[in-house]
Amino acid sequence: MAAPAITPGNVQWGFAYGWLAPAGEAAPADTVAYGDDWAGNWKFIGATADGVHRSFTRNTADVNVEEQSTPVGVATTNSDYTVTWSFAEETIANLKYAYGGGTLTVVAGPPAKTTLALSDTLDQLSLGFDALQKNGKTWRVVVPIVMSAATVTTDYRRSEGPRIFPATFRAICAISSIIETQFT
Amino acid sequence: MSARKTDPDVPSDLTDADPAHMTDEQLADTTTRAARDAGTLVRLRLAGGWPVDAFDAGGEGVAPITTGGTDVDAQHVDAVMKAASEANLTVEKVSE
Repeated sequence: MAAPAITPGNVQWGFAYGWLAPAGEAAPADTVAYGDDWAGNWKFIGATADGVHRSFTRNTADVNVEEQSTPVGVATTNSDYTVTWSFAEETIANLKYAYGGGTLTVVAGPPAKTTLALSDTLDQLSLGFDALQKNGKTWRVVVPIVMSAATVTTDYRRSEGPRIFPATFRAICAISSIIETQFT
Repeated sequence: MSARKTDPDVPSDLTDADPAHMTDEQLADTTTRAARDAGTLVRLRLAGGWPVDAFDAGGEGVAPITTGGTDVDAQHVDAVMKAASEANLTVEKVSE
């Protein structure tokens, strides 16, 4: 009997392009290809220190009965969908995203400058990213509402690496509104 | 203009008609609206600049233009819009 065939073409690797927008921004059209501008209010996140990371955690509770040693059901108690990356481009807009909010003011000057007044209020954002598959098509993720809330540490070193803004974006929308799309 | 009922002791039909019965906030609002109607104040709004929240064109008496809208003395409007354009931002007039 022949062994089941693997599909090496399904094994994927490579970085993703991340995007952010104000919460509620419409997802890009399906005609937007990998590497294309998502347009609208979507802003490209630029370079990252170590790529985009997506994690999903589902916590569950077993439903048990006396007459069976294994659960008769498993129910979701809560879930956490988080996307992280470290901004490698030192812009004040990226600092706002990483810190989770604030008031960004562009001042004409002279001197021209941009200021960020920090805030206790967290902004709601839309988040997405595109990754490339071997078939040349996109794997696209769109999360309608996230909040950025985490410890952001930026190291100022002579030569150890760029100054970065690590950001953690947690979904706060219905889990069913998070859409993963594999274009084929 | 619709009647406002912020002071229960004042009949609503007098609230807008007589400035003596307006709260400070209502009076300021009425004055601002009158200035807009007269063309001495123009409401500007920062548009499409996300994630920027405000644009400060500088200059005396010109408050930062926010995404929610800011009233600007009419004589400063052109300068504010020109400065915004140079900063790659869009400031537009708000029509009411």
